[in-house]
Amino acid sequence: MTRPNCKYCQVVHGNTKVEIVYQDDKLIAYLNQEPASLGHIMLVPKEHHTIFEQVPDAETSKMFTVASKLSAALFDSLNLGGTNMIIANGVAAGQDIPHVAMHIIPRMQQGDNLNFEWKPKQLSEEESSIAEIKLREACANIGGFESTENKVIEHKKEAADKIIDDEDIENYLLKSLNRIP
Amino acid sequence: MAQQQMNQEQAQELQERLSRMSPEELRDYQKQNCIFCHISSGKQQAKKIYEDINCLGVLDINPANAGHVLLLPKEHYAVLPLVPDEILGHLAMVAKAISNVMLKALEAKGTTIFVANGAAAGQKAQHVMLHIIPRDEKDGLNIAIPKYRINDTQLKQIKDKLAPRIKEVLNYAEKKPESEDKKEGKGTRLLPDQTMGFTGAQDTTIPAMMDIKIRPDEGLLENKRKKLEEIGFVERKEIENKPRVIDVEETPEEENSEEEKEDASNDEKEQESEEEEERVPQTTAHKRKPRKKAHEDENDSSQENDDVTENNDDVANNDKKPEEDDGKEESAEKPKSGVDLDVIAKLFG
Repeated sequence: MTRPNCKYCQVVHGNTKVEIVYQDDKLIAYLNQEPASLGHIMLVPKEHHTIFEQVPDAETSKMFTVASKLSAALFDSLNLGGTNMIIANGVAAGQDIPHVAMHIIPRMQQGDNLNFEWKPKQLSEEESSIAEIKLREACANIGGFESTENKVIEHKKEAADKIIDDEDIENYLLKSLNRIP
Repeated sequence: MAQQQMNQEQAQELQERLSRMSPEELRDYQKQNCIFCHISSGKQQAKKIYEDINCLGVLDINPANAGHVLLLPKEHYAVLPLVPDEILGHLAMVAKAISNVMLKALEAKGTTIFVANGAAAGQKAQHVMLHIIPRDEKDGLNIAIPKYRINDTQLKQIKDKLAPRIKEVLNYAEKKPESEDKKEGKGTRLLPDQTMGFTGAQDTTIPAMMDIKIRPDEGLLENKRKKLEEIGFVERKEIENKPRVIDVEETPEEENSEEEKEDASNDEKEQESEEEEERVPQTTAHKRKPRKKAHEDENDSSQENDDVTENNDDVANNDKKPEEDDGKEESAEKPKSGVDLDVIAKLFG
């Protein structure tokens, strides 16, 4: 389904020329032409979904796993301090195009002029308990995922070893460890 | 001063000790000092709102908004690249469900899903987590993503820098220009071998999953396995038995050689027409701006159409499923957190 008014649908169908860095049958990732920082990637499901909740489970999973790998690739190739992954879902959250998209934003160790940190709100005990109760009640219905429910997924030692063998990531681990007092 | 020096020495000592540790020890060390591990093991109290075998949702004690949820894997992972695909996928689905819950139960006008990966990105704890923040227009949160200008050559440079590593990590290589054009399902389709290329896939073998506490019947497992394969989780053995190098171009060409020719001629035409199309927007760009409002109106009026087509999507999805399932899974099928179309209308109305 192409939406003529949808910016991302135009990208998906090749009507807008962009630098595509990854694509498969469900997702497309390209370099944002109005980046927040150098290497800012947009990861977009090819199917037109207006909000995040409409994206099918399998696609959601894949979106995050691909995003994780893209940010690892960004991290290694651009000498970064980290990445932010942001999905703005709904106009109130700053979504400007009614097609789900994830921003993968490279962050430098210093001086990238970006700040996504928020000031903690001082909530009364009542306010937070109300939110807690409402959410807990509604979350009781969560389940029935398409693939990975009710499976104990154990940490694979080999996987960790393999990744940690990678020098960059080891440094990264140590670097970030040092920052914790 | 003396104290600071002591601290520095201690820090050095710590650093040396850490560098001598094996990855396993390092992980254990982090785990002992990780507050979120204490939360998931119950040593530390927290306002839990969601819990399953693999992950935990708690309310943030320093919330950006009322109802700000942290979704974390129960197992300790210091940084995102260490999280296995399967867990991350599970987290993503739960995050989506929680986001949906926020729209309904908290009547949020939107949600922000935020991951800080690395200290420079604002990751404060050595435990991977997803932030899910309910949003309102006037909540005063400033998680806006700035837009800067960049020229095409810079973009190209960045892409060239990224390409080798992305190829390595995601096993993705860009197709040659001629196959890139509009031949959906032919040249651009990934061979099974490529979709399996996620590095985590080799570690999540299906036999390991069979040791589940609650054993589902065989048919159900088979279905799940099929679905996993669709996503890209596959037994490693199968991959290794296959020849590693597969020529992407050859097989489709043999089958579709006639079509290819047609496409080639079509492509030329398409390119021409594309060029024309590209020119047109430039000339009409000025006209478009004042008409923006009109476009918005169009959007509004097409909202209803959207809803209709979305319904169609759902129908189509439902149609597909029975083909794969043997009907057994239907019983296990979801109390699924469907999306109210009203909700969408509200968010984009």
